[in-house]
Parts: sequence; structure tokens; C-alpha cells
Amino acid sequence: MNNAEFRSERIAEAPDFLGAEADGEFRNGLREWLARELPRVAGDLIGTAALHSVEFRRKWEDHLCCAGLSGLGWPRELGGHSLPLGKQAIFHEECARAGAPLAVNMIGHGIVAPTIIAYGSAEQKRRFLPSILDNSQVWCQGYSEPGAGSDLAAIATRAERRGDVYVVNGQKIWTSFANIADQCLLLVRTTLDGAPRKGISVLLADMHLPGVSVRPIRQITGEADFNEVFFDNVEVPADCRLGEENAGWKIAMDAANYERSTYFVPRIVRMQAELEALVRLAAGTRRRGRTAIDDPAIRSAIGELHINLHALRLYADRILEMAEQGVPPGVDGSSVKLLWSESHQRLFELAMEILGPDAALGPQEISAPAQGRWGRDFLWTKAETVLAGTSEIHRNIIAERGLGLPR
Amino acid sequence: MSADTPAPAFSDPLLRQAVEAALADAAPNAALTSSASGDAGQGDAHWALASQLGWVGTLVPEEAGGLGLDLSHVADLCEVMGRNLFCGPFVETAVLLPALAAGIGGEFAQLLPDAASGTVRIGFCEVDEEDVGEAKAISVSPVEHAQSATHFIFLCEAPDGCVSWMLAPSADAEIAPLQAMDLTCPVARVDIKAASPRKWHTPDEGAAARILAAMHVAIAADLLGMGEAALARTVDHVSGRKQFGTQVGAFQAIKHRLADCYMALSGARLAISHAARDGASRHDAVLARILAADAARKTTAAAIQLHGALGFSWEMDLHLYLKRMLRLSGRNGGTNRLRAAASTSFVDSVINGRP
Repeated sequence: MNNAEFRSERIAEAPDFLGAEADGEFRNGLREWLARELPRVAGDLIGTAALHSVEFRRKWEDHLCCAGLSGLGWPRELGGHSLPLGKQAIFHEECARAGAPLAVNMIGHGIVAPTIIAYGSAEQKRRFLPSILDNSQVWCQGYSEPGAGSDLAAIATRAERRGDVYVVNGQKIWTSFANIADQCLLLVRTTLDGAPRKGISVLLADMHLPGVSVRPIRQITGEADFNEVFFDNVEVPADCRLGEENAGWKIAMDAANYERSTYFVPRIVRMQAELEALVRLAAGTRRRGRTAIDDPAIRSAIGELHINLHALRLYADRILEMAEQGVPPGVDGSSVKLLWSESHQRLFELAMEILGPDAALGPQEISAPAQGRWGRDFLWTKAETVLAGTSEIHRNIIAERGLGLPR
Repeated sequence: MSADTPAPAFSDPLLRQAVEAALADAAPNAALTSSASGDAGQGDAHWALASQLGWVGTLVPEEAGGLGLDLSHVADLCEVMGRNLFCGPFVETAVLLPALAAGIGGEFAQLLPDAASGTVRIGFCEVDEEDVGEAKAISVSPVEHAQSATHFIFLCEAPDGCVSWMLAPSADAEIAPLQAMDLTCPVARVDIKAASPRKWHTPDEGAAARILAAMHVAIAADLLGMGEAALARTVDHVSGRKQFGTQVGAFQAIKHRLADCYMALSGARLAISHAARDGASRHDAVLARILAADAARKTTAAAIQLHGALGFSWEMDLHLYLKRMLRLSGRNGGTNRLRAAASTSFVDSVINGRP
């Protein structure tokens, strides 16, 4: 049984398929559940761009969590289901296949929770994990700063210990979901002595504390998922420090490992569904007497993506296998991030080529093919080669750690 | 995969080590650089090793004098051979022939004992549909290792997907040597006279797929191995060579290009490992072959570029990787034909809703 202490009354008993031993049975049960529940919750939104709005993403995520479908990989004693990574991958695969939108609190579920499980005190686990499990609190990650992007160790946001609080002053930027987040996994500088990496601590900071202000940044998609976050004499209780003082760099790096490995699995399996949608788009697009799918250049580009996606799936399998054995993804994590983000970009570039003159329709134009989703996602993929480590940083990692090239 | 860590094995690390050690002793690459016309002696030395140590019998069943191993062992062998620029008709004799013996039997199976001992050497010829017929004259060029072949195997892949095979002894052939691009592999024109009667075999779809898949996996592994060797040499070079007071390998333009090579080779390695497993499909093998060919193309180009002017010089040997890549990539109609076929098969599966 899952530990009741961690599961609020919002959470119902999980559907039966979750206990299925065989992968096939698990997959079929989940598929049936999704085919029933998604149309029921989404109603008229099925097939519209609004299915991917933040509002519906939250609603759907709430539905999943309240149905007991969260904490899939967490240990049972913390309220989770202890599902092996293989079954978690199937979960994401089937959600993508059913056309369900991505979660909003993916930072909470995918990055913060495993980090708290690994480094948190018993008290911190009791305090923070239940509200991730039932989705009542959304998390963001306070990492990048105006002067610390790729060079993350250069962060300058200060946290000074005064009695039983840390007084935080500084600024974060490019913080996803900060505008709706309740909590923040916050990297702060707790000492100026010694090497930059040795003066960093991690705080679990309440975003509703006095002195926290958030300013959304409008992106090239027209939306605002990223934010600036300002900390002005914010008093974070000292018992919200994760791990030891000045030992935050390793925690941040481990969290990045989650980000680069299991966190990407849903995105990789989603890409398979996107590529199939692209093939159908090309098969349904007729221009100047010819169907786009019969254009050899388009067909060749689709083949290229299919081949890359094959490699990407095998990388993902390998990383899952390694994660099962407790081995961090290391250089392979960088390869996956690069291959995923660059192939994803290429996929949407190709979609825009197929759309031809329709590419001139804006990302919020409801009369555009797929209600503007192709255009919106084309723009969004430009963020993916920058977030979670730029392509340049990952190539440095591969060259230095994989090939042993000089720094 | 990096210069100092050995690549993981597809099957048995001990097998890899043994093959690596034997080839390292037998084949100083310098032996190849002195001769412009190919070095038959090198090929003979490699073939003698492959015969004595039983490599040629890897896929041959034990009752026919072979080792009775599977495709994952072939992948290991071919990768190490690629790394060491192995000379000889290994894929044709040790992979294609046993695959045909298993899928068709008959005259192909009869050759297995002599193939396992290294006496039989196969030359591989791809022909067009109009060449298929009982008594037609066939002229094929270039045919690799034709001069030393005891038999030729002919393949016709018709545009409709029908695959047929034919075996002919070298006694029926006239062989005219030609200049080879890859000096580790002599080539010739092969002419089969119109009069000699021949039998074409058309295996069922499953058997045809397994035969072609075995060949694709073996070629992919060779491409991977030679790509890894070219990358390792380049990493060594840029780590030692200094300009502007620093190792050139510290410059990001160089790091990033080599990181792309590493990533491409790692992806190919995963795909080969996947395709060499029991139950893998022909499509899996084709994807592995494409990934390996692309990785090898990228890596050989980077190797020559990042060695600067040295890369273009004959005595640096780097051209051997480039030329081997060209030769192997051209097999079975070339990588682009395979790419187009893979793409069509994927697109059809989406549009027709096949799994």
C-alpha cells in the first residue's frame, strides 16, 4: 500500500491497470483509461489548440493526479507507486499517443520531487511531497540569472543567514512557470569565499513570501512562459535549505541529470506522435497539383527525422536502463538533449515548409492548420536548443568528458 | 568510444580483444601507404589470420566446421576489422554466404565447410533485373576482391522488392583488374559468359529480409569501427598540436565538430546493437546501416579537415578511412537508396496505419 500520510483526500484509489504485472496489460489498461477520460475532461476542446493552453494543461494534470496517476516512480513509503522506469516510459508514450497535453508541473514532478527524495530531510519530504503528488502546488526552478546563464556557477543572488532565516536578495531570469508557481527550487550564493561552485546552496522557497515579485517575459510565440523573478529581502526559513549549506552545486547538477534523462522521455515519445502528424499533414496538403508527401525533398527530410528518432529512442532506452541501475546519464544525457532539441527544431521547420503560404498565419490564428499549433511549436522549438543547457554547452561536455579534449 | 576507453562489446569483450590484438600485430597501416595499386600481400595476411583463427566461420554452424555464433558476434568482429582496416572479402564470405545457406540452403550450404576453413572466398556482384536469366551474359564492375574470389554471388533487388540470388564459380568468369579507390580492397570487372547455365534463387520474404539484414549489420559495424578509429586519431592529433599557444583541441569550433562525430557514432552503435539482436527487422538493419554510414562520412571528413594540411597528405593514412567509407557506403545501391527506402516504408506505415 502507498503511505496514506503522503496522500491527501483529493487523491482517489489508482485505476487497476497500474498494478498490472505485464507491460502489455499495463499499456492496454492505460490506453482504455485515456480513451475514456481525456474526451470526458476535455469536452469541446478535443482537436483544438486550447487543449494545449496552460488552463487545460493544469486541469488535465489535476485530473491525472486526483485519479492516483502521479508519483508513478516514487517509493511507496512516500505515497508513490514504485513503478519501474519502463512502465513510466509507457505511461508517457500512451499519453502522447492519446494526444494528451504536457503537464504544467513537470518541474515539480520530474525534477524537484526526485531531488527532494534524494536530498530532503524527513520533515521536508512530509512538507513538500504531498502537494506535488496531489498537484496542489506548482514548482519552478530559480537557476539562471542575468549574469549567469551557461556559466551557472556565477550566480550572484545572495542568501545571508540571520537567525533562523535566510535573507535573499537578487534576480533570476528565464524562470519557467514562475508566474503560476507556488514554490521554487532556488539556487543562491551563501558565501563569497572560495571557488564559485563551493558557495552555492539550494533553498525550497515559497513564491508567495513578501518581497518576491514576478515579471513575465513575452516570448517570440507571443506567450509568456518565462519570467523574471526578483527577491527583495525575502526571508526564507532556514529549515527550507535542501542539503548542507554551500553544498548546493552537486544537488543542482544531480537535478540537471534528472532533467537530461528521464525528464526527456515524454518529449522523445511525443516526437514520434508529432512526426506521424507531420506525415499526415504532408499527405493532406495539395499544392500546384501535387501532394506534399510526393515531393522527394520532403520525403527525404521525413526519412532523416525518422532515422534520428530511431537513434533517439535507442538512446532513451539506454538512459532508462542506466537509470534503473542508478547510473547517471553522463555524456549520453548531453547527446540526447542535443539530438532531441535539434531534431525537434528540424521537424517543425519541415512542417513550415509543408505549410507553404499558410506559414504566414500567426501562432494564435485559429483558422490556420491545426489552429496555429504548427507555427506556435515551430517558434517554441527555438527555445529548446537553449534551455536546459545550450547546444554549445552540451557539445563542450561531450568533447571534454566523452572525448577527453582539453578545456 | 573516446581515445582511452574501449568501446563496449555487442557480444563478447574477449572476442573483441582477441581480434584487436591479432590485427594490431598483423597490420601496420604503413604497409599500405607505399603501394599505389593495392597490396595483395596485406590482404593475404589478413585472410590467413581470419581463416586460422576461425573468424570466417563465425556464422557457420558447428557441424559445418564453424563457430555457430550469431550476428552480434559478427558485429563485434566487423567493427574491430573496420578499426584496423581489414583487407579481405569477410562480409561476403563470412556473413552473406552463411546467411544464404541458412535462408536458401542448396549450393550455398555446400560451400560452408570450405568457407569456414577460409578456402572459399566470395566476390559479391549486384546486378539489374535484365541480367537475371538462365543463360544471359553478365558484366559487373567494380567487384571487390574479385581477383582472389573462388566464387561469385550475384544479387538482384528488383524495384518491386523481389530479391534473387545466384552462385557462379570463378572458373566461369573473366576477371579484368581495375584501379581501386580503396587500396585495401582490389576491384575488377567480372564477365560471365552467356553459355554457362545458372540457377537464380528467390527466397521467401522473411528469408530475404534476414539475408540482407545480416549484410547491412556487418557493413554498418565496419563503418562504425573505421569511424571510431578516424575519430580517435583526430582526438590524439588536436590534443597534441599547438597553435596560438594552446592545444587546438581546446577551441570550440574543433570540439563541437568532434562532439557531433562522437554523437553520430554513439547513435550508430546503439542502432547496430539493436539490429543485431534476435527478432530485429530488416528495417532496423537498414536504419543502423544509414546511421553508421552518415557517422563515418561525418567523421572521415572531420578527420581530414582537423589534421590541417597533414590530413590531405598521403603518408598520414587518413585517406584510407575516407576511401573505405566511400566504398562501403556505395554497397547495396548506396546509402541514399537505403534512406529513400526507409523513408517510404515509414511514410507508408503511417498513412496506411500499419504498426
